[in-house]
This record gives sequence, C-alpha cells and structure tokens, in this order.
Amino acid sequence: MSGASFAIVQSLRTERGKEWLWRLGVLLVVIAGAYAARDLEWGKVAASWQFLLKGLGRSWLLALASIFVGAVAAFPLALARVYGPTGVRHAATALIETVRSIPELMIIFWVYFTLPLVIGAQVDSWEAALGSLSVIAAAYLAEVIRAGLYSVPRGQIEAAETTGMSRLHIFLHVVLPQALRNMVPALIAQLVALFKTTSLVYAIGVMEFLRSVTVINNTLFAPYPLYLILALGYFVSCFAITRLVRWFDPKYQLVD
Amino acid sequence: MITFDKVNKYFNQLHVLKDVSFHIEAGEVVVVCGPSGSGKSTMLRCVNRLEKIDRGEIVVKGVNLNAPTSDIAKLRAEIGMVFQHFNLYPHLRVLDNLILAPIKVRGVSREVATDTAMKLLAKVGIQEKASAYPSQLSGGQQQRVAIARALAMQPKIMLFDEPTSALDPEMIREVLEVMVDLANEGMTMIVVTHEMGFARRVAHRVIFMDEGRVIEDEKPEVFFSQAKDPRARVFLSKILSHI
Ligand SMILES: Nc1ncnc2c1ncn2[C@@H]1O[C@H](COP(=O)(O)OP(=O)(O)OP(=O)(O)O)[C@@H](O)[C@H]1O
Ligand SMILES: [Mg+2]
Repeated sequence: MSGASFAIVQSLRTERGKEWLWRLGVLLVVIAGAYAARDLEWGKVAASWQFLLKGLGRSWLLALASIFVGAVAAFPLALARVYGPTGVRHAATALIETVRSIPELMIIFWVYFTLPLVIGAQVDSWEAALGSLSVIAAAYLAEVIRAGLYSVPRGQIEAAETTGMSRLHIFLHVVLPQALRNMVPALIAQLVALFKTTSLVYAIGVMEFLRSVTVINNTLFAPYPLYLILALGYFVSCFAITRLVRWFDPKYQLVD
Repeated sequence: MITFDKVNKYFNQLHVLKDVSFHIEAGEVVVVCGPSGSGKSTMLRCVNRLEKIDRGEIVVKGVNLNAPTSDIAKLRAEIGMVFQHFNLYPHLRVLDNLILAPIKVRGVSREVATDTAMKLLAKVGIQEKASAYPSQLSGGQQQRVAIARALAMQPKIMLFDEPTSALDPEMIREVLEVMVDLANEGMTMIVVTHEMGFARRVAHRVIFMDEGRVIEDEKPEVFFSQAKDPRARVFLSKILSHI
C-alpha cells in the first residue's frame, strides 16, 4: 500500500474521518434517490408548490400552537399528578389516562361534532383542530414531564432537604433543572409524534399538509411525486424539531 | 446536644430501631458500626428527621423532633449530612453546589457565600475545581466537595453515612483526612463507618448496633480491646481481619 493511501485509510479511522464517511454515505443515498425520482411527473405538480407550502405551514402552525397550549396545561397537570393531594392527583391521573387511551381521531371528532351540541355553539374545523390537538398535547406532554420529575434520584431531594431548603426551593433549584434535562429524549419523541398527529385533522377538513397533498392529487393524479413530497415534508419537519430541541439542551454530564 | 430516648422505628412490620437510647455532647465524635441492616443509616437519618420515628423521643439542640411545632427546616440547616454516594447536584458547578443552600436558606449574599465557599474548598483541598461539574471529579474529590457543601451552612452537627465505602482505597485517605481535621476542630460528629483506624484516632465513643439495638456504647480503647458482647467481638474480628 502506498504512503498516501495508507494515510487516507488511517485518517478515516478517526472520529472526524468516520463522520465524513457517514456524510458521504448520506450524500450518495440522496443522489441515488434523486436520480431514481428524476423521471416522475414533476412538471405536473410544480405549479402547486405554493399551495403545498401553505399546507405545510398550516401543519406547523397547528403543531406549534397545540404544543404551546398543551405545554402550558401539561405543567400543572403533571405537578398535580406528582405532588397533588389525593383528590387532585386522582383527577389529573384520570384526565391524562383518559385522553391517552382514546384514539386521537376520536377526540378530534368529539370536539368537532359533539362539543357544539354540548355547548350549543358553532365550532369550526380550525377551532376544533386546535382544541383537540391541544388536549392531546397536554395529556402526552404531562406524562413526559412526570417521567422527568420522577427521574431525579431521591438522594438529590434528601441532600437538599438536609440543608433546610424549602420544598419550593428544592423543586425549583434541584428537581426541575434535572428533570428538564432528563426529559429531552422523551420530549423529542413526543413532539415528533405530535407533529405527525396534526395530519389527523385532515378528517375534519382542515387544509393542512396531508390534505393539501391529497387535494392536489385528486385533481392532477400524480401520486408518486406528491407522496414523495409528503414524506419529505414530514421528514424535514420532524428532523427540524429534533434538532431544535437538542439545540436547547445544555451540554452537561450526569453522575450517579 | 443529641439525645435518643427509647427510640423505636418500624418500616411496615419490620422493627428497625428497638429502644435506641444514647446521649451525645457538643464536640463529641461518635463512630457507629455494626452489621449490614442493623439500622445504622436509619438511626442517623432520624437525627435530622429524614425518617420519622414511631415511639420514643429525640431531642437535638433542645428541639424535640416529634413535636409538631418544631421548626425542622431551621434545625436541618444546622445539621450537615454527608452521604455514601455524595449526592452532589449534577447540574451545578462545584461552587454553585456550595452556595445554593446558604443563599436560599440563610439569605446570604452571593458574594459572601462565594467567599465562604472558596475558603471551604481550600480547606478540603480542591479550590481549583470550583468551576468543574461533579461528574468531572474523582470519587474522593466529590466526597470532599460534599463535605464542603455541608459545612457551607456552618452546621453545629455533622452526620456521615459511610462516607468512604463507595471510594477506592487511595481516595479513602483524602476524605478521612478532612474528617479528622474537622473532628480536631471540635465539630460534633456522628460517623457511620467501618474505618476502625478513624475510630481509634478521633472517636470519643464507638456505638455498636445489631438488629436495631445499641449493643455497645464505649470509648474506642475499651470497645476494641474488651467488647463485652459476643456479637461485637465477632463483628470486630471479621472487620479487623479484613484490613
Ligand atoms: N425505606 C425503607 N423501607 C423499608 N425498609 C427499609 C427502608 N430503609 C431501610 N430498610 C430496612 O431497615 C433495616 C435497617 O436498614 P439500615 O439501612 O438502617 O441498615 P444499615 O445498618 O445502615 O445497613 P448498611 O450497613 O447495609 O448500610 C434493613 O433491614 C433495611 O432493609
Ligand atoms: Mg447504611
């Protein structure tokens, strides 16, 4: 083996080398994919790009709004389930478990079709979508938060207790910061799942990404390029969510 | 300073402390030893009411721990505790581990707390690690930080629950040195440990527990050479033959 090629092989063994090898692999797969997809009917769907992009935008809006509302509701729910007095705890548990054990589509239908009968007022599809997705997000995020709170070892709380710190201070300065860091992997998984759940409001007529693609397909009939776009849209979105959460995750190492 | 009077404690059906009585004066260093499961940790954790007792009475610094009116948080602030597994806060730097409680409990300013903390870190020999995270320290260093963290509250009493039993032999010494210094400064200490060398050097008394009872409560010289109870002698022969 010549000196130069030996040096290249050696450099590929390093962490950086492996990283570049991996990137090269991904690039090759993407090129191969693009090559395989080159003959699809792109011309037919090109004119619809604005419509599709708007659909994707609505999916993001639904996801962000429901995650925001859901997170705001999830915190008190999780706290009630972990720290609440018996009655409150049971109520929070019942609420969370009920929502989690009902198919999401069912909840969406209830909010859209049944809630108007109960409250005697009109609920449009967009309101129903936001409402039901927020309820779903609240229940699932509450469980992520609860798992995070439970992940903090008992010894941490005891160590703080022995210094005379109040329960509130212990929660704010010892439990919560560690819980937030520990919940990052579960949080990523849950946010990705919630993003994909937004596609279900397709069923009540909200023109989000899945429905936009379907509507275009019904008029143009170009399923191959359209469903490829659909997959790519969700993939890129979920990937972005993953990266975004990791970016907020402060680098630190755990002991114990 | 610390009085146990016929203390009884149960975990469900399990009777873990049986009529435990003793008295510890200010400035005394008491080593507690005994077989695994004899109730040493439980006894120690009763002193700052991490465990509640079922019968008997504990009085610490004049405060009755069972009385519902007692301000336990205030008392805890004056009792430092060091755990077998350190229990440092992993998300905080060493310095922040030390100053958290003084700031939140005593209302000390950050500057003053930092000043005190740096002095304590110097005392335990690791001021250069002030801005490291606990996970970046060796076990011995972590335990010394844990001792400094407890001292940062300027406690009158220090409790140690097997502070060296999770450490490698070469690290045990550095931690024991810190504890010896503390004992020589007149700190009131209860130390659960099987480090009999430490007991010989600084303990005023050795309490030996077995199956939830205090079996021996003697000066170290007496305990090591003429323990009355056969269980204590068996325990001693096992543990001393190990070293
Ligand atoms: N939280 C708990 N719930 C139930 N039982 C417990 C609990 N903590 C301790 N025990 C039991 O109480 C008994 C005394 O435990 P303790 O930890 O005080 O013993 P120890 O003398 O410290 O032992 P070791 O040397 O192993 O640390 C043991 O039988 C133990 O299993
Ligand atoms: Mg123990």
